[in-house]
Amino acid sequence: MKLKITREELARRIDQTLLEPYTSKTEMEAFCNQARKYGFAGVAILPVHVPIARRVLDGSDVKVVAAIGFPLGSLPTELKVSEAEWCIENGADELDMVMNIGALKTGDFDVVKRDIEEVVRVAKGRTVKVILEVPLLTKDEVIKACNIAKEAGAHFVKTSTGFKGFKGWRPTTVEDVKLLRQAVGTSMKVKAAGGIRTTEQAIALIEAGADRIGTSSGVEIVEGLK
Amino acid sequence: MEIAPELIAKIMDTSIIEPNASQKEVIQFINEMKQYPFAAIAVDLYYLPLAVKLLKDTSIDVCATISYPLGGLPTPVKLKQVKWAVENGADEMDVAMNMYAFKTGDYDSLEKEIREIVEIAGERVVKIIPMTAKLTPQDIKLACKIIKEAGANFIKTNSGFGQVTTVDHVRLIKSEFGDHLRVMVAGGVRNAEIAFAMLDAGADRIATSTPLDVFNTLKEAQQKLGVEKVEKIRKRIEALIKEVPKRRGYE
Repeated sequence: MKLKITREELARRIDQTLLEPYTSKTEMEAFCNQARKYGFAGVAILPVHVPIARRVLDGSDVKVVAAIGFPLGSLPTELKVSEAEWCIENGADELDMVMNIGALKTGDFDVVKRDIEEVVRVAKGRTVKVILEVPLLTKDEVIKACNIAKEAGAHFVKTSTGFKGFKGWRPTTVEDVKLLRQAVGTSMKVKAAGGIRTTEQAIALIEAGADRIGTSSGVEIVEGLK
Repeated sequence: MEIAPELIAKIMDTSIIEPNASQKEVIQFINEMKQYPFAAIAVDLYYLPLAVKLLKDTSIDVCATISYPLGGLPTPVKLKQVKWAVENGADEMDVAMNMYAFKTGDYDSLEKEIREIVEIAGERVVKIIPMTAKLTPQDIKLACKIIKEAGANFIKTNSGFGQVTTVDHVRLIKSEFGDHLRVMVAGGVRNAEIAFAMLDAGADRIATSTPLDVFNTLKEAQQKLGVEKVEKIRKRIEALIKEVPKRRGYE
């Protein structure tokens, strides 16, 4: 571990994540209060949880990060936009949107681009991260997707949804992050997500070029920093 | 009499719900599947118009997936999806239930949401997914009661993606509600033996993303069961074909 980083600095790189639909109001409140205590960059949550997270996190630096088109990304643009608009109206600070992966695979790059452009438009300057789902893409597709996300005006590319139900799912790797970093250069930020459980993993991904870490183990990762 | 793929398919749904499915793969899958008389084929909303086109001249219902698979959307956004699905030709809707409202104990909002969905869906078949794999038996009964009272046609046990439905859950629901609530089993139906066990427990429809594995194991499963039990299941399938809601009817 070469990186010199304090617990507070590490926490500021983490989107603490809870994308479980069966999380009750009380559980979401506790989750957000914990995120506030640790000083995480944000809480990554489902749209239905945005209003309660907004209430708990008001007055703090912790961003409310809404997952859009999650986890499949396979929606017509107008419906992805509806989700994004609702989340913005209800207090989301950032949007993590799943790219239309099927359209990319089909070669319908205009669809992929418009999808992102429209979400960026309704985000009105708020940070938009585009989830590529690298484990399901070829290297060329990853590079193409990065270029589209950049052209469409998104701020981040993100490696994976972390949703384990997909065939071919695997944890995100240092190689994934390096590939994204190489593809976007310094023009965009990179978020690593998917199966990140330990402090060592998180540090290795940051060293590889990740600006943000998405994980449901943020507390363990911060506590694990010696 | 033997249970052939052409018979059991009539009470089965299949689906292609994979984030990385290309248009070509969706077309290939649907064209292959439409050779069997499935009750319905479910797709992502992005591919709904394509599926409607491909299944136009068949008896197979096109099923839209709403707030899928997590059920993490607030009511207004969910209703927009339902409207969009109706406008774009869906015959059925598989709707992931608002688990947040359920877990928070906000049963009134939950029931109201389902009522609104059923209303917008009109004559279309609505299946609500309470994700039984994540619930206690008591919560399963409560969720089913709300779904039934809100007027949905079916509960669909799970949305798949690793969630598995048990025979016990099907028995539990059917013993409580009988024919007043139709049950579509989804999640873990990998072969004919499991499909038969679910039907025997009272399932009204079976969903699987790998129907060929069910068809290919039909003979083997029937040999294992014996003539008498097979006949009982066959009769049940025939009764279901007559009684269980499906938008386009049966051939």
